[in-house]
Order: sequence, then C-alpha cells, then structure tokens
Amino acid sequence: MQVLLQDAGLKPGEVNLKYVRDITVNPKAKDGKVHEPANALRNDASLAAAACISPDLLTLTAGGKVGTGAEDSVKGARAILTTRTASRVIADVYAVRRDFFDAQKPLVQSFVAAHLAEQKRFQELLANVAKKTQADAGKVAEFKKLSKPLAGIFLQDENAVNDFILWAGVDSEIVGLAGNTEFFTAPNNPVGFNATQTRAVAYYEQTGLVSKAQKLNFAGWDFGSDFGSGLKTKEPEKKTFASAAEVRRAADSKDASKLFSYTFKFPAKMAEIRWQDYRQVFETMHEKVTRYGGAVVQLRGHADNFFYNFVQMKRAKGDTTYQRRIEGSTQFEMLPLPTAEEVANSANKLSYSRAFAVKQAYAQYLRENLGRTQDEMDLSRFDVKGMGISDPVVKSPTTPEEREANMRGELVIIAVEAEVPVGFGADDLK
Amino acid sequence: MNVMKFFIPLLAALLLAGPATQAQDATADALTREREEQTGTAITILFDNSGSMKGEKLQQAKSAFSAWLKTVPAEYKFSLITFEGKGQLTVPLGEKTRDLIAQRVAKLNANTSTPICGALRVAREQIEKRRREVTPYERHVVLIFTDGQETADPRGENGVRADIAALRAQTVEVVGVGFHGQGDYMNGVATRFALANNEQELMQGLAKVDAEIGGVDDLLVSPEDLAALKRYQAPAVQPISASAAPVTPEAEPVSADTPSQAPPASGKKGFPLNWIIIAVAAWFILRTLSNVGKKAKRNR
Repeated sequence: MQVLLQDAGLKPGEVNLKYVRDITVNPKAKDGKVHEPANALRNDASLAAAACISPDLLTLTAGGKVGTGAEDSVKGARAILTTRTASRVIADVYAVRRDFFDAQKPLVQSFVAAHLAEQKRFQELLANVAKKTQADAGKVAEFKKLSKPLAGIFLQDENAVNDFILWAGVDSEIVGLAGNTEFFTAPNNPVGFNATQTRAVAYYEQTGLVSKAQKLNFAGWDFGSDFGSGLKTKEPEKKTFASAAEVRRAADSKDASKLFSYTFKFPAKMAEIRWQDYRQVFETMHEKVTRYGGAVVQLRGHADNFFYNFVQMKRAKGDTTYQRRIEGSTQFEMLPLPTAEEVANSANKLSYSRAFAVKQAYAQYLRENLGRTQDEMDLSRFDVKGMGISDPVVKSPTTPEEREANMRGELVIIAVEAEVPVGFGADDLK
Repeated sequence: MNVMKFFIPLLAALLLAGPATQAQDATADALTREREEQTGTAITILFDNSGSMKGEKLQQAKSAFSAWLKTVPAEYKFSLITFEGKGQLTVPLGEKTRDLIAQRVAKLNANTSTPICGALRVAREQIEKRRREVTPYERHVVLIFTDGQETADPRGENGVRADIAALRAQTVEVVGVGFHGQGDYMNGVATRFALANNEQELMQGLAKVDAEIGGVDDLLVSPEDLAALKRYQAPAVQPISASAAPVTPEAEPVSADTPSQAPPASGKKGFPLNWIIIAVAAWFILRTLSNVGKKAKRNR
C-alpha cells in the first residue's frame, strides 16, 4: 500500500487507512461486525477505496466494469489496478523463528524443497489449463480436486475452485525456483527481498506502526544446489506483446488507465543516451517497470515548440523567410519558412527518437548493469510515443531555460488489464 | 604445458566473448529494426498515366523517375498509385519497394483519364490504415505528378486543392510536380511545388520530394521577433495518433519552396566484433600450433 501511494505521489499522512482483520468475508465470524475490505467499502461511505481479493473486486465493480449499486456492487466503484498490473508489489514470504530455524534447519529446508516442487507441479497444471481446448481433461480434473481445500482456505468456500484457480494462475503468479532466486539473491533487484524490507521498515517507522522495526534475515539458501537439480534458477521472460503496433493499441484502448508518470530531462540536441550518465533515472525506471510487471510502460518524448511558434509568428507577420546559421560557420543563410506539417514532422521524429533512445539505453542498462541477456528482458511492454510539440511545459518559450524545460522524457505506467493476453479464462475451466 | 596454459584462457575468452557479444548484437539489432519500422519516410507516388502523357512526355517522365529513384534511400517505403479507374493502388506501401516502383513505372502505358482526387483518396486511405495498423510515426510524403487537370471529380481543380489541404492537415507533406505547363493550380496549396517542362527540370523538381527542414536551432531571432514571440499565443497542437486525426492546425497555403537537403546517409553496420575476436584468436592458435610443430621438429 505504501509503495502504491508513494508512486502516486502521496505521503502516508495524506491518506487515512482503515485496517480490517480478514482478507475476505469469513462465514465463521458470528459477531455481525465488518471484518473485511469489501464489506467495509459497502457499509462505510467515508471510505474512498478498498484493497481486496479479485473475486470481491469483481462483485464490487459489477463484474470488472463500474459498480451500479445492485447485486452487492458499490455504485461508481471501478478497479484502479490489480496485482496483474502491479505484479511485483506483493510477495508472499514464509518466515520462521530464528531459534527454530537454527535447531531445525534440515526440516525447514525440506519444507522449502517440497514447496518448490509443488510450485513446479502447480505451474505445470496451470500450463495445461492454458492449452484451452487442447488441455488434458484428466489433469484439469486432478487440478480442481487438488484446489478444493485451497479454495476453502483462501476463499472460505471449497466450491469456489474455479475462482481459486483463476486467482492463483491469472491474478497472481507462482514464481517457482527462478522467481525465488531472483527475489532473494539478484543484486540490485528493486522489488527484491532487501529493497522491499527497507521500504516496509521505513513505512512502519514513519507511520508509527512499530516502535522499533527489525528486518528479517534471508535463510541463506543456495538455490542452485540446495533443492535438487530438476528446477531452473532462470527462466526466459515471456514477451507480453507481439509487436509495437499491438502494445500501442493496448495503451490507446478505451480501458487503458494511466496510473502515474515520471518526468526526466533530456539535454538539448541529444540523439543518444548513455544510462551511466543518468543512473538515477534508469534505476527509478527499472524499479517501476519491474514493480508494474503487467502494465504497459509508455516512454514519451517531448520536443520544444519554439521553432513551430517562431514559424507561425513570422507567417502571421507576413514573412516568408527566416535565417539560420550555416553549420560550422558564423554566417547565416536565408531560407523559406517551412510549412506546419514540415515542422510537425520534424518535431515528431525528434521526439520519437528521444523516447526510443531511452528504450535503447534501458536495454543497455539491463545488460551492462544487471547482466541480463536478451531472453531475460521483456521490452515488448514498452510503447514508445513521440509527443512532438503537443504538450509543452512552457507554451510560448523565449529563453534557453524555457526551451530546455520543454525537451523532456516521460515514463507513464498504464494499466491495460483488459488488453494483456492471459493464459486462460473462466470458460477454460468449465 | 605452456601451450595449454595459453590455450585455456584464450578459448575461455572466446567462449565468453562469443555468445555475450552475439546477444548484445541481437538486442541492438532488434531495437534498430523496430526503430526503422516505426519511423522513416514513406513516399506515395501519384503518377499521371493519362492519355495526354502519351509519347515523348511519358518517356521523359520514365527516364527522370528512374534516375530520381536511384537517389532516394532504398530503406524508404514507397507506394505507386496510377490513374486507372478512379485511381488504382498499383504498389502498396511497404519495405523494399523502391526497385519494384521503378520497374512498374517503366512499364506504364498512358491511356487513362485524370482522376487526381480519386487517387488522393486512395493515398489518404492507405496512409490512415498504415498509421492505424503499422505506425503513426512515419513521415508521409505524397507526390502528385501530373500534366493535366482533374477530369473525374466534379469539383475539378478546387477538389484537388481541397484534398491536398486535407492531407496536409493530417501532417502529410504533399509535393506537386506539374509537367509541361500543367498543374500550376497546386502551387500555393501543396507543401512544395515545382513546374517542369523537360526531363532535366523534372529531375530537379523530383529532388524536392524528399526535402526536410533540417535543424531547428541556431536561428536568427531579431529583438522584434522575440517581442512578438513573447506576445504570441501558441495554438494547441494535437499529438500524432494512430487514428490519423489532424495533428496540426489547418495547414496554410504556402508558395515558398523549401530548401532541398541531401538524403540521410544510410546506416552502415561495422564489422562484427565477434569476427574480429575469432580472427585474432584463430591467428594466435595457428601461430602457436606452428611454433609447437617447429619446436617438436627441432627436438627430434
């Protein structure tokens, strides 16, 4: 919650949080009070939003649209984002007491090994469902049987097997050994174990939730050898979109929702970027790109509109020419005033090139700083957008500083859940 | 023993450098391809092959187009629209179409009417579709080459002028080239215009098709201009979009010619580093084996 608010530009003191006991409705609770977020939102008009599990979200929003007030939905309620978009904002981590760990390390290791093996099995069963009509029906039935008690635990309803499988396989992600290795051991992982704890501890202290925060220790597993050899510690990244046109369509779709943006400066006349010169920009970018692993990352380039205004102003005065310095000389040459479309085409090309240079530099950052191979990058989520001169910070710039303010890049995180292809849907479980 | 010590680090270096460099090249190449696919220049040629072009005019035009096409970068995308029916899409916009266009132009016959508006409609629809389905970031240039007047659309010249203005409002540069004293009605409404009366003049006119405005810095701004700019209320400009909506305020007619500019040099790829490493390594290995052989001979 803290990190979502922070990314949205909010501070803890600016939002009042109401905590509830359960994640969803507990049929065993007999005290008649509200203990879960969905009913809290229904019953308390002072609440602006709720964080809940996806089955509740679908009910509140009338099936993922906009709530009408009927059939347990809340009028006007809509989904802002889910863990399909913010795919690395919540991590489920097992913790044991230190004294227990020290005394029973082989037992804990066996538990982890069994857990990883089950995750692999679960991933295979999910992959079978994703084969849709080609799926092995026997394995689907086996999967449902296995999931029944889990639906009882997580959704308090053993009959909600299909909901549970969708929740586990589409709205969340079982990361397996590769994901655990990445989470616990990858250096500079902005959403990994260390970085997440640092953020969480700072938040607890800032909000006064704990008097003295203490970090958890990593168990120190060697994921390459401690859990057998049949599992992979690295998996290729799946490409979310097949082409630049496809990701653009998703970003432009009517259901796409801009979550937040981050602006950074471009030096004038820059055609290429070295990530080493803008380390902080690329670290911030990497953090957000990773955390919102299901979102479209739109890179926008903005060009300065001075020349466009200059041409329009001169044309309004009746001028037909202008003067520009000859490259490498102190002399000026007289040139005809260009047309609006020529200036716009030039600005569009420049702004697109700037935005694309950021994408190229990010690929270099992943490779050179984080040691990622091409298979370990998913750049298909990047929508590069040349904004031309359509959105200047200073509408009528007349100084070098004002012109520089217009030359900028922007990283926009866009939730496109309806547009991102998913492995399977409810129909595939019937 | 010494030889082995030499070999092991060398081979290790080869094994490490090879795949890493290949992966690096593959990522960079994929991004370069994407950038080229998404941007670049697309030229749509409206070629008047009406009956009035028959004879020497058509031969001059074919010769001039053949020479001009050789000067335009091959990585540009081209399309050819001829005047059969209400305008016919003879070659759709696409990669590596320059030579195909040259071949088709060389085989054209002059035997149609002059449906310029119809041909412009075909061009506009194709550009809108391409912006929607492929990329909105290409620079589109439409060349209208004609020796006559609109004969199919009842709006006549006014229709051609209106359709040119509509294309320009969609950030399409429209270049009019009138041939043998015709087509002057495009002057002042097209982005760039040229009149040509022979093959040589036609080649000069075609050189304007790919003209870009170049840098937008280092301008001479007088104090009066600066004062006027401070007072200037910049109009809103819409971002370019795949929906092909107008992205500039309505294009104003302009009679000035813009300066022609040499086409950008095509990007040449350097000699792959992999091959250099392999070549150097192979030379070392051969030399070492040769020395070992010589040493063995001497020892015998």
